[in-house]
Amino acid sequence: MLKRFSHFFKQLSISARLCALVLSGMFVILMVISTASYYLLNKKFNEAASKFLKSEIDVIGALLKEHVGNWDALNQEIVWRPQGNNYQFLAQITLGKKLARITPTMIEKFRGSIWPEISAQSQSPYSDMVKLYRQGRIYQVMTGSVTTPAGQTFIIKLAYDVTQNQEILNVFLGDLLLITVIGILIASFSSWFFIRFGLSPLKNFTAFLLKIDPKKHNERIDVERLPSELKPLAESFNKLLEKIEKNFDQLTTFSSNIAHELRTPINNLMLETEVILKHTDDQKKIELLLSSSLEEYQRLSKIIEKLLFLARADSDSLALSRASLDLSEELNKVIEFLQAFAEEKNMKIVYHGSGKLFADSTLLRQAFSNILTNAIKYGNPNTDIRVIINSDNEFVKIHVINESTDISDEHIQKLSERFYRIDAHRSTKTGGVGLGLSIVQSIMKAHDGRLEFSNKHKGHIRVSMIFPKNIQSS
Amino acid sequence: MHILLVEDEEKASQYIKMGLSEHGFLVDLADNGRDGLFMAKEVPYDLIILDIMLPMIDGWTVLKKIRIEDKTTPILLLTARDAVDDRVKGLNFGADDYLVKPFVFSELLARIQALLRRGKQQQVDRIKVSDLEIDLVKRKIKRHGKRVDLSSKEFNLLLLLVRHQGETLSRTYIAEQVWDMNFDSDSNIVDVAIKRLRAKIGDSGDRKLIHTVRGSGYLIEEGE
Repeated sequence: MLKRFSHFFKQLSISARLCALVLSGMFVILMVISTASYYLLNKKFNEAASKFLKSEIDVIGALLKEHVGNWDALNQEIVWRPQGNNYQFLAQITLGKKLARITPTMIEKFRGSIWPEISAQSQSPYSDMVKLYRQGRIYQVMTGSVTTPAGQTFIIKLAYDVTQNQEILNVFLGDLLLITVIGILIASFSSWFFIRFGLSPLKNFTAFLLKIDPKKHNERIDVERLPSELKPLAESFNKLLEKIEKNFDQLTTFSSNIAHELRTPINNLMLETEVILKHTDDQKKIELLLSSSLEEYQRLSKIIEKLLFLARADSDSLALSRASLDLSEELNKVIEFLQAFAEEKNMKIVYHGSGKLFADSTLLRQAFSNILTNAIKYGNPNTDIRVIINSDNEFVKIHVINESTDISDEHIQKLSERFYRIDAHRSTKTGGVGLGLSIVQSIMKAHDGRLEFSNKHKGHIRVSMIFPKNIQSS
Repeated sequence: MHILLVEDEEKASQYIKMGLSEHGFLVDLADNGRDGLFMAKEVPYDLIILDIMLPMIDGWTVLKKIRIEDKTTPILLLTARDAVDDRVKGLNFGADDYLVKPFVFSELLARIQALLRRGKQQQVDRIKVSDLEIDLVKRKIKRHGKRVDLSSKEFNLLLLLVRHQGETLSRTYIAEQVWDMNFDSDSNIVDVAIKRLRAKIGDSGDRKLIHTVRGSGYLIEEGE
C-alpha cells in the first residue's frame, strides 16, 4: 500500500508534488493553530467558571459565618441572587444531613446527580470542578465547605450553567473548520500559481531542449539566464552537445575520408582492368597489370582490416591476452624490426629506462611500431629517435621523441584522428593510410591508458604512451 | 598430398582448390562443418584447411572434435576476423597456423608448405642456392665463395627465404617469421630490410636470387 503510494508519488509532476507538500504543510499548521486556540478558549472558560464558583462559595461562606440564623441575606444570594441569573446559578446548603437552603429548581434538575467531594487530604475548602449534563444543559459543579465560629460545618453544592459558553465554543470550532478549509483552498490556488511561476525556468529549459534540432549541433543553452540550480545541468548539457558536435563532425569527415581512401584504389583498379581488356593478347602486359591490381586490392584490404580493428576497439570488443611484459625486451624487438628502415634515413633509435607492463604483447608491439614508423617517416634525417621509459608509482610512461619540422598546436592535437594527415593531400611517398596513430590510440584505450602529443620543445615532437600502473601484475 | 578444405564460400573454395591443384595437391571440399568433421575423421588427410565461420557446426567445434582423436594432422585456420584473441584461441585449441581473410594465395601456399615440411625437415648443416652458401651451424654465409657478414635478423630473413625456395612469401609472413611482429605493419619496412639484405649479399643484375613478386611478396629462385 505504502509502496504503491510512493510509486504513485514518484510519477507525479514536480508541480503536483510541490503542491501536495505545501498543502499538507499548510494543513498541519492550520490544524495545530485551530486545536490550540480551541483548547485555550476552553481553558479560559473553565478558569472563569472555576473562579466564579469559588468566589460564590466564599460569599455564601461569609454569609453563613456573619449572619448566623439570618437567612434573609442567604435567601437573597441563593434563591434570588444573582438576579436574572437564576437559570445560571444554583446552590444547595446542607448542615450535616439536614438541608438548610436550596435554589428551588435545583431539586428537580439534579435529582440523582453525584457531586464531587472535597478531598480529605487537601486543606482547600473547594472540591474539583466537574461537568454535568442535565436536561439538555451543561453545568460546571463544585462542592465547598464552610465552618462557622459556632462549629457548624455547612456543605455547599453549587452548579453553574455554562451551556452558553459551550455554544460559543461550538460556533468557534465551526469557524475554525471554515477557516481551515478556506485557508487550504487559498493555499492550493496560490501555491499552484507560485509553483508554476517558480518552475517556469525549468519549463523554458525543457522547451529549449525540445526545440534542439538533431541536425544543428551548434546550438547551446544560454547558461547566464538560468537560475543557479539549473546551471550545472545546462552546462553539462552544453558539454554533451559540444561532444556530439565534435563526434558528428569527426564522423562526417571520417566517412568522407573512407570514401576518398577507397575511391583511389578502386579508380586505379577500374583503369587497369579497362587497359587489360584492350591488351588481351599481350601476356606480359596482362601479368604486369594484374599484379598491379593485386597491389591495389591489398591496399583496400589493409584499409578495411584497419577500420575493422578500430571498429572493434570502439565497441570495446578488443579482447586482450595480457601478460607481464619486459618493456625493454619488447622495445628491442620492435627496434630490430625497424632498424633497416631507420638506417635508410640515417636515423637511430635509442632508448633509456626500463619497466614492466601487464599488456597484450602483439598490440603493444604494434603501438611501438606505429609510433616509431611515424617518427622515422616524418622525422628529420640524420637524427636520433629517443625512447624514454619512465615508471613511477602511478603510471608507466613511454615517450618517443624525435626531431622534425615544427608541427603547430592545431595539428598536434589532431594527430590521432582517423585519416588525419598534416599535409592535406595524400602523399604517396610516405604511404600509409593515416590510421596508424588512431590504432595506437585505440590500443591505449583498450589498456586504460592514453596517448599524448607535445610540441613544447621547438623542433621536437614527443609522443607519450601513458599506461596506468595498476594494470601491472606481479 | 591430400588436403581437406572446409570452407562455405563457394567462390573462395573453388579458387583455392584450383590454385592448390596447380601446385600438385589433391583437394577435397566440404562446405559445412558437419561434412568437414565427417571427412576429416574418415580420410587420412595430410593437411586440413578450416574456416571458422561455418554452417551447421562452427570451425572451433570442428577443430576441437578433430583434435580429440587426431593430434598430428596439421590444421590451418582461416577466418575473416582480424582479432588477436582468435589467433591465440585457435592455437590453444590445437590449430597449427592461422590465416586472416582476405589473404593472397601465395601466402596460403607458403603456410601450407611450411606446415607440411614441418617435422620432416632433415637436419642439414649446409644449404646451397646457386652461388650462395649457408652454414646453418656456424650461421655464416658465403657468396661467390666470399664471406658476407649479416646481422642475426638478416641471417634469419635469408634463411626463411631459402627454406621456402621457389615460394613467394608475403611481407606479413616475413615480418611474422623473422621479427615476431604479428600485425599489419607498414609494407615499406620489410621492403627496406630486403633491400639491405640484397645489398649485403651483392644480389643484383642477371644473377639475382631474391625476386620481388609484385602484389605478393618475395621469393628466392635460382636464375634460369
